[in-house]
Amino acid sequence: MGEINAVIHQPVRLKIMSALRALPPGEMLEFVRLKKIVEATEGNLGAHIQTLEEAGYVAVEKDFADNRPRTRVKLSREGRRAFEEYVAGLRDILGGAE
Amino acid sequence: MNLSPGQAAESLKEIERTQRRSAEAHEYAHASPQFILWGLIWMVGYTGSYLLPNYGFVRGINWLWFGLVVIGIAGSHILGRRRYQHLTPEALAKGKAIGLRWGMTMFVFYAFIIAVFAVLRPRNPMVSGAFIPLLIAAIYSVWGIWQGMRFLYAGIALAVLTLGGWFYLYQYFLPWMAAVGGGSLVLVGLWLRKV
Repeated sequence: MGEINAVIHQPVRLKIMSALRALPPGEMLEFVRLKKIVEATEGNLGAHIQTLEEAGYVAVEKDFADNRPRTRVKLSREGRRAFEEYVAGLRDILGGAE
Repeated sequence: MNLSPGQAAESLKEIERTQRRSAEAHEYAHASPQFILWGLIWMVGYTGSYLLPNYGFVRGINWLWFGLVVIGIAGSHILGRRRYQHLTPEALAKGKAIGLRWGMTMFVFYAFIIAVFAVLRPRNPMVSGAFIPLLIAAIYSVWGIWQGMRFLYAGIALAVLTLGGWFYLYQYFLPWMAAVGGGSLVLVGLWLRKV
């Protein structure tokens, strides 16, 4: 049994962090695209992004593209480190079970 | 918070699944404008190849395609730069290195085509008009096997349309490739944008 980051270990937040971790460092994912990948409702996704933002794991940028408002999310350096520690923790649990 | 090995394994599986979906969606988003750009270039190129008054004289067609390829490479470069313009300096440097690799890949690709034509010396411009789309279809298919099934479907569709035009509509092969070959690339670009 191991200690696991409770902020990341929640189904929607885990998907958000995984989706952002799959991007090259510094790249952002549009909210609408993230919604499709995570398969969450707009309100649900927004609430979980806020939790991750408060933890310092993601950064949110709002701007206009083609005269339409756009929200983009990216993994912070802290978020990348926390996610890697989380994955290492999961692997440790599996390793300990073998 | 404590987890059992079963819960940890399930979380790792979910991470892998989501990362794959995200990486695919990311690739699709950035490939989409490139497909549209090259689809339009094909439409102009094949239409021009069909309508050029000196059709049959390979030189005129070569110059047309040369000009279009230069426009295409410049356009691809601009689209590539847009992809990285908002990034941090660190990520931007990485983006430039990737851009350089893409440039070198394109150079190898065109050098290969020139080398093949130098050896095979196709007298009929329609042969080169079919060979290049088939080669691109093969590249998309291989890319799709590794990076996302939509590229594979695009490659298969392009190959089928090219061969269909060659074997069943040979007389109209060039306008066929303008409408269906170029058109399908544009449609694939729009389809990838929807992901």
